Amino acid sequence: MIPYTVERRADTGVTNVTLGIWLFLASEVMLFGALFSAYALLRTAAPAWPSGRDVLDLRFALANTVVLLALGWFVWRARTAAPPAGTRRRLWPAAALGLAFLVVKSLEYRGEITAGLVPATSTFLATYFVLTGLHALHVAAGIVANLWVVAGAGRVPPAMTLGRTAALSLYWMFVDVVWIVMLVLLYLS
Amino acid sequence: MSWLLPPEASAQAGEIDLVITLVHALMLALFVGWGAYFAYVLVRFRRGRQPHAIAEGATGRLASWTEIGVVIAEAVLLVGIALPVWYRQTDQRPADAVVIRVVAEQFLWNVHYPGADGQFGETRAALVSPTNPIGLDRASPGGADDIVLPNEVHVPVNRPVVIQLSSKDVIHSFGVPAMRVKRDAIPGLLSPVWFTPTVPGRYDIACSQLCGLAHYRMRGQVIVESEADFQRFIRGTGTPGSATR
Amino acid sequence: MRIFSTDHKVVGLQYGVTSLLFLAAGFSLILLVRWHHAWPTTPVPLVGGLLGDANASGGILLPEFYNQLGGMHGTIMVFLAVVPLAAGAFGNYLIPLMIGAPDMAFPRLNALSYWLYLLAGLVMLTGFVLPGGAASTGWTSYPPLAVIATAGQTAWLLGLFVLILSSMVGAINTIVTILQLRAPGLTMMRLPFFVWTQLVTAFLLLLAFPPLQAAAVLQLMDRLGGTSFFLPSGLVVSGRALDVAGGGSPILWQHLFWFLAHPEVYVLILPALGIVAEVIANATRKPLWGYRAMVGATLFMGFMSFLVWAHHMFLTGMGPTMSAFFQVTTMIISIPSVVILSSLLLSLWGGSIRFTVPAMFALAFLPMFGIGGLTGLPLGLAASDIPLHDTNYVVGHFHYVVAPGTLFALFAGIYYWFPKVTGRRLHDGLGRVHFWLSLVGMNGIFLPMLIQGLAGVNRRLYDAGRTYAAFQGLEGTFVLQAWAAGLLAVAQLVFVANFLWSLRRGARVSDNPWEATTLEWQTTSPPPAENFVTLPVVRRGPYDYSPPGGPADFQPQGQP
Ligand code: HEA
Ligand code: HEA
Ligand code: CUA
Ligand SMILES: [Cu+2]
Repeated sequence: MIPYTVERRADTGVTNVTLGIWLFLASEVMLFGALFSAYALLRTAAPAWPSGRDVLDLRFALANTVVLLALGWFVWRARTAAPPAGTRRRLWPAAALGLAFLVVKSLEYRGEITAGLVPATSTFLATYFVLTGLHALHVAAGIVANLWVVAGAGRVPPAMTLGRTAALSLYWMFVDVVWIVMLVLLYLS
Repeated sequence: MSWLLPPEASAQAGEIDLVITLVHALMLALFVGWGAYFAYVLVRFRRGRQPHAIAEGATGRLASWTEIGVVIAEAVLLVGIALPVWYRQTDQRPADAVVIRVVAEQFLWNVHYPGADGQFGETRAALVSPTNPIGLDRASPGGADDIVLPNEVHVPVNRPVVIQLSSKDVIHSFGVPAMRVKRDAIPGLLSPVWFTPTVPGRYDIACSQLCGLAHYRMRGQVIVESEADFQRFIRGTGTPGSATR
Repeated sequence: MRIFSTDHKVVGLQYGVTSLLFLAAGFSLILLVRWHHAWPTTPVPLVGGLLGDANASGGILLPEFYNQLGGMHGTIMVFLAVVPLAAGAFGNYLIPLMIGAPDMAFPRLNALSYWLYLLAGLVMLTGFVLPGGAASTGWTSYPPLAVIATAGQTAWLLGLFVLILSSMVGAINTIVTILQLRAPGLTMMRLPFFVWTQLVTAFLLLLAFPPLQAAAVLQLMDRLGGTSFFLPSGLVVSGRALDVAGGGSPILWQHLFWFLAHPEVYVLILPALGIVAEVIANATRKPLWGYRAMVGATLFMGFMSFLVWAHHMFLTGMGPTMSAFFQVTTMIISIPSVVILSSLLLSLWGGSIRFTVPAMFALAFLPMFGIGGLTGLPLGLAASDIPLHDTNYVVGHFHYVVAPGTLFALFAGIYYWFPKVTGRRLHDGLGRVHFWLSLVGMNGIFLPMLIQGLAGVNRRLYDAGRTYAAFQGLEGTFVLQAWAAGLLAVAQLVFVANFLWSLRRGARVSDNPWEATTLEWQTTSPPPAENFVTLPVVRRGPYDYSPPGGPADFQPQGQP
């Protein structure tokens, strides 16, 4: 058996999953960091840059902000809930909220595309679609992860489920933070 | 090591070659020093000669001294000569230079001279056509007597030349080995590069950035001629249309 | 042995076999180039007629195919051969054994990373059958050229995207395994140096690759979605204005690419240094000299490698402050290499050197890496980089580090650990033939490159630069390179024959044939499932060779 899957290792103070998720997030920071740097570079070099408020529809973004924050709250509460019932009670609604986010986002995309606002239109829209698209992929992946933890909650030891939910909550926190940054950079400035 | 390098044909070639020579001297010293040690050790400490290893190993401070030596040598090279040379090459644009524009495209160099009046006409992408590769507006001020030639950069000897590089399509690189000059021609940017040719003659311009199928054939020439010949060139053929190809 | 196994040893071997095949493929591509540069009007023998009319007319390479060969050779070698072999195969197989762990920390993710890697490789290779052929804009894929290139570039980008997922998963696994699964008593400062290099390598892969992934997405968008992240306004291609919004920056790609690609070159060298250190300690029968300094230098090198990327871009035109910054960092990063090399060289002093085949490869690594590393210095000073940039000097520089450098280290590792994996030894005489022919062949190819580069011959030229003044008088060096490449190929045939023969017929050996100290030798060869029958407890540092007054000339790490 692989040691330290559920119990912490004394000298590092963490379990394998905890360390793994932090490393994963570090790599994600570099991914989005690179994209945000590209955004900054393109924007400063551009002779004109549209204001997101004029081009995009802030109402969708605000709705989705509420959805994501609620989602984050559910997952956060799942950290301390007793598996498996408690875990399920909080991760199911979180997954549903994730789906809601994706629905709202697709509606928003549809509106933009029918209005002729596509990635090829301008560098601003290109960055917008790439950043939000990649973020939406992360939300979709998060939903799958939620369902995976829920499915496993009945089978694996409670301690393991708790470890997984803790990792999951860190992941969603990251997804929330990226969203807020995007809200500011794309919609509000 | 000048026998390994191309002929020197510009004022800056000497100091660039000096940097190359000094760095290679440092490299050679390190390689020969460590190489001699290496060869000695392999013979001296082979199993047949040294049946039992001495766990303690080397006790001197040889490593620290070479390391410190390398740090100092690199610092001196960098601050003492490499940085100043680079600074002159890129940040001290010569005054009263001959200015020539070079617009790269797959796979040739369009060389644009201001003509006798010393003033460049305007260029616009919309005007680009097979007979007007850089989209020169002949009607614009100074444009009438401009000369546009493919692949031939005429320059006078012993006068600083500034080449304004740009590109129509992909990234190329304007490399003239004999002048010790190289600079990328990047679409969307205007990149200046300068040198003072010192020896009349014809020198290769080698495109130094992979730019597609015929990258290997994207060869131009720098033609260094006397001041008089250069003046004749820039005036004599300067009648509108005649030199535009 | 199950194909979809999660055992780290199986995954490691899968990585190993696949990456060796890619290595052979990368080598084959470049053999065509070496022939063509020497005898451009003579059809390539044997295979010339099989290449297809789109690639070679009458057996003579066409420019469009030549560009695919160079670019795909670089891509395959770096991304699909050497890194998967060094980190995927050696790392996977050896790390758990060397730290006394039953497996990697996340066995299923481990298998996933292998399958993603295989998928990525296959996707990249599909380029060769697409119209227009494989990616042809170099392994650097600079836009705008890469954006207007044929469909093979799309395959390249998709493959790269998947590969980065694979390497991220693998890197997380490696780091967690090393930090979490060390056997009792195996403190960080008792880790074999090889494990340290794998740890730093994994961090580089984890943090440097994502920006390239981002860049790959952006370039895909430019190619498929009509965006212009990397395309400025006003492009005119082949006389026609390009129909894009414009406003992008070609330089942005270069920053994102080199932000990965420079750390990547240290990914190519660090595991090699680790292997060399293990083999040298074993072959000299004494502890590594300056183990602590080496570990420190490795960490410092890893950190600094994120701060030097723009030394590949001096001639794009950067301000004096920025170029000065990158020149200084480049000089600084050469210091840890000097520290590690000096330590390895001093480790030889006082040794009782056994010239086994792995030891020969590891020893030859030292001066070869020396040449490669030293030739990095004139490139790191922007002033001397002006004439040398994009010439064969650069190609010579990095091949000395990756080919007779890293590849030799990997060969050393294969000869050294083959008995662990198979219980048999590779044939010694054939190994020596492989070594000497490879050494001569490699130098015969790469030394002329340095000379050509100084003379001003550019890289990536279909006709090797025949029409240029710089080429004149150097034709003979290209012919020499072709012969040397042939010799190198023969040497590899010897190796393949030895490898296959020894798998079945090689002399059987004991569990610890090299009388080594590290933990992987304290289990059976090959190791059982879960690696150790009783989990080892570590009592001493990794290289307790020839302890004064000890009973034997080595004390295994787990021996009481
Ligand atoms: C890790 C990286 C790596 C490695 C190892 C190599 C190895 C070699 N490279 Fe390569 N090369 C690059 C990375 C690498 N290269 C890169 C990045 C470029 C730039 C591309 C570009 O321009 O964009 C390049 C470009 C490049 C060029 C220039 C092309 C050009 O400018 O157009 C040349 C020319 O000769 C060349 C030659 C060689 C040769 C002869 C080897 C030899 O050393 C190869 C020797 C190979 C072996 C010894 C393999 C033996 C193994 C086996 C046979 C497997 C056996 C299998 C089993 C047992 C199952 N390389
Ligand atoms: C493993 C890979 C590897 C390694 C380790 C290095 C190491 C170094 N590299 Fe290299 N480099 C590449 C792979 C590597 N490089 C590749 C692939 C490219 C080209 C990419 C492309 O364009 O396609 C490149 C290109 C490249 C450039 C860009 C050149 C150009 O395009 O114009 C520069 C410039 O600064 C550079 C610098 C350096 C420096 C200063 C080091 C230093 O870290 C080296 C420090 C080492 C030493 C100083 C050696 C010390 C040893 C001794 C003193 C002992 C001697 C021993 C004996 C005699 C026994 N490299
Ligand atoms: Cu233009 Cu290469
Ligand atoms: Cu680099």
